[in-house]
Amino acid sequence: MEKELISKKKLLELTGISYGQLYRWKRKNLIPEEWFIKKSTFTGQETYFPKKRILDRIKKIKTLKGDVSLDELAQLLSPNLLEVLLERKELMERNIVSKATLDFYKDERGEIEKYAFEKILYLFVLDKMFESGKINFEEGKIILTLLEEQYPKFKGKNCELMFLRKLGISTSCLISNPNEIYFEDSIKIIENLNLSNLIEELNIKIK
Amino acid sequence: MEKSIGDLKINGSGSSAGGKYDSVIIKGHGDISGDLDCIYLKINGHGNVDGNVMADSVKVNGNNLINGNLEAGKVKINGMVEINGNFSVEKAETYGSINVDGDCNAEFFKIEGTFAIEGLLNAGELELSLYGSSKAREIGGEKITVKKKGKYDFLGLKGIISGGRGKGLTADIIEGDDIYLENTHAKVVRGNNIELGPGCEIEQVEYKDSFKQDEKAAVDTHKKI
Repeated sequence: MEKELISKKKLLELTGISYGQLYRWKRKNLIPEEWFIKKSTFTGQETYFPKKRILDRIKKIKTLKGDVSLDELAQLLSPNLLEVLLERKELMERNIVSKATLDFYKDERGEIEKYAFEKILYLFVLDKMFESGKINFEEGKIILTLLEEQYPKFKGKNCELMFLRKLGISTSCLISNPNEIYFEDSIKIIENLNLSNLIEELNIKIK
Repeated sequence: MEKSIGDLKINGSGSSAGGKYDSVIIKGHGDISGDLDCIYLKINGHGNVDGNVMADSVKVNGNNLINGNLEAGKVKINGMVEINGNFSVEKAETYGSINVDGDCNAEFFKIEGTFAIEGLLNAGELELSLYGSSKAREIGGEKITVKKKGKYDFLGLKGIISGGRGKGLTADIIEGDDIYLENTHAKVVRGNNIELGPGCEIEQVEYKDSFKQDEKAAVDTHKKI
């Protein structure tokens, strides 16, 4: 979870965008409301942003806005789930989910013909974690079950998936974002994924 | 598209539970005690809505109180509107007064009269012609123009009538690309091109390209960024 903030003034300086653009993007919901963090300073209230995420987002908007309209862009960047159905073959061919992960899912839950966006997201998460070698298939089961049972409860709200290990025993949880959480020393945070970011990534991949 | 569900018309005095309609027309006095979703909403007289309003086009001649959010394509108001929530609109014109308890989002927003916006007023193009004291916590947009109207104001009549309240616009922060202000009190004004007309009292100005100041405008500090 990030703590580093950037002031609005610094942000505009760094990215070269104007106040007008920033406000326009906010109006179009390209930048989520909760990123505008108000803080008191000597000139009254000032707005700050989570530094890494806003810089990422602005870079993304700048590169994409030539190709699609702002409204379409808002759809791509929104944490709401797209309404799509993709077949197993498509997922593999378009490099969205690897064959190993799809096979893992098939062994666990049986064959399904079409994958809805939610399913694709879960597989995408698993795929990332398998690929990085941070978890094994046994742990993948824990995460899959967690996502299937708990993620729908967040319904469009931002959340993070955390994967922990303590003395060889692993567990996983979903945390709404932004939030702070601290653990005792012997717990290792193996992976911490922001699901909204993944949804964005996936949206762009699927489009 | 869902099929049309019919119209709601209130002539005289009446009430409705709200719901989904093609057009909603109130002539006289109407109370709506729920969310309203329609293509066209017209109020001549007085309309109260206890819920959120979604409409393509809204026209108010008279008085309208919305206890919720207003989301619309086009809004024209002659009279008074109070919104106890957020206001999002493509294009809005207000002649009279408008009060919004939450934030205000518009691509084009013209106000002639007075307004009070408790949150952020965010507009692509903002044209304010003030006839009395108005306020917004924060104003942001591409083009912001604030002009003083009220021709008799120089006699001080307005000030006496309105109970000696501060006249002009009061805001904490105003930020935009092109800003022209008259009769405005603000802590901070930031933008690319800033011009301050008569009657402005600004604590701090930060500009990128150009800054002009009328001799009747007071500025504590200004700097080029």
